[in-house]
Amino acid sequence: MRVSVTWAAWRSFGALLIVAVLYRFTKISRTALFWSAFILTRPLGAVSGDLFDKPISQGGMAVSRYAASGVLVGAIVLCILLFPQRATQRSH
Amino acid sequence: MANGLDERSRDGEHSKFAAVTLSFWIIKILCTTLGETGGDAVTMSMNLGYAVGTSIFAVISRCGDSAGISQAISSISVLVHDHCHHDCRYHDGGPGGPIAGTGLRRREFIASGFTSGFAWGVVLVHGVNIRGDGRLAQNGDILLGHDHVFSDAGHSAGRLGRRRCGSRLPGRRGGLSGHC
Repeated sequence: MRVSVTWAAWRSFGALLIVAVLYRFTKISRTALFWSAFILTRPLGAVSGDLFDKPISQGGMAVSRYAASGVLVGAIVLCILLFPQRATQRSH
Repeated sequence: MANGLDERSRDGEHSKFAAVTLSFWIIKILCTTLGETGGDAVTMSMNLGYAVGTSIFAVISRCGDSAGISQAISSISVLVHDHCHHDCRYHDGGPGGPIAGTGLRRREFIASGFTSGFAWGVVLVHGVNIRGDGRLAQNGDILLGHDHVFSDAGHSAGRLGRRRCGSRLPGRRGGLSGHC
């Protein structure tokens, strides 16, 4: 059974959303939820990366790795500049 | 990367670590994605190989930490380095070596189980510490110090999730490479 990277990306995103819902509506340990989300960002990032640079036949967008990396660097810089940063004052 | 308690947290001042907000998660996912594309760009598109790629990003990461450059830049380097490191391990032996050649599914299942179990072991141990000493949880040591452990778990889980995407490359010892 072949699974496209698009589906894999949605699946990872869905898993992360479930953690967010659990955070919002339950009293499950915040430490456990934090690390669950932390772990889940990794496969999401990995499949998102594949979504950019894998061939269209595999469900990717066939964008060059250089271009994808450049866009991502730009997005990160933009986020750092636009989102207000503040230091933590409590435990994670 | 910080070790020990953050002096400013201990004194009740602001920590040098960013608060975990929505923007934190957005930037974290962007960094991880960049880790994938950037790692592939250096190791595959530039054809520098995993050993060189790992070294490059390890040096950048260390320089960033030493020079006090933005945490984000260091984090990006760590993630890209981590990506290279993993592929290096999957391809060239390491923990995956003994079971290479037994099939991608079984190998990655074992890798995922091992790293996830280890990661959660760390959480449980530190959970005890957090309850015993609230100040420990107020700095980012747990977050940063065990980043690689949790990246291990996440990366293995990602590989496990992508094992069926159809790309099977010939690996060493007649096994299947972990790259998908």
